[in-house]
Amino acid sequence: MKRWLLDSSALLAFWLGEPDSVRVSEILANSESEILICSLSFAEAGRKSIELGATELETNKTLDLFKSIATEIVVVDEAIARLSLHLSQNSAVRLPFADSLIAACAHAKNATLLHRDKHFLGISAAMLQQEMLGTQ
Amino acid sequence: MNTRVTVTIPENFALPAELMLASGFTAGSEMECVFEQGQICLRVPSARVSAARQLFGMGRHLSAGRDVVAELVTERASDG
Repeated sequence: MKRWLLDSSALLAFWLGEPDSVRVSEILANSESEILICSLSFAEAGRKSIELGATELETNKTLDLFKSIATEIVVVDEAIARLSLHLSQNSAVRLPFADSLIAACAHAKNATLLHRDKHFLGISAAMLQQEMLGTQ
Repeated sequence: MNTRVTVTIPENFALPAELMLASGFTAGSEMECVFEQGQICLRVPSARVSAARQLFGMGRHLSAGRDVVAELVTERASDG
């Protein structure tokens, strides 16, 4: 069983049907994959959907489908928040707030973070297993 | 379970009731058909695969050439 945490960037790329999100399809189609999504991604992706002109109803349908592909929704709690500080402090580049929380979720769950956000690349492999879309 | 079905008209055949019941197929169900080594295998797609099929490209018509993911990455950096 391989555990993946899908970042908002990977979820959006998949929802938009972008070519490199075929990797997301592959992972979802593999019955050996366990899919995790950080609760924060529902707000980020939902906000983008609304911003693009989708209605609240349409946005909620999208978020329901995100929930359907997930084995687990990882909630940001105190432990995750504290872990995010540690990751931020040890990142080679400045790690945005949302990124630090999502990376902490992946770290806490021992999952590989699938994303398309260059900021995650500043986190060492010892602290975060990750794969950037389009680099496989 | 082992049973025979007859193809009535091209691209159309009936599944016996006991197979429908055992497999969970209902009228209108989506099924995956795989032909391998002389055998046809019918599978009920998992809920995850069905949801993924609906999700893929669902928002494409809204993006109108915008690089939405790049926007997200930029906004994250400026938000904090």
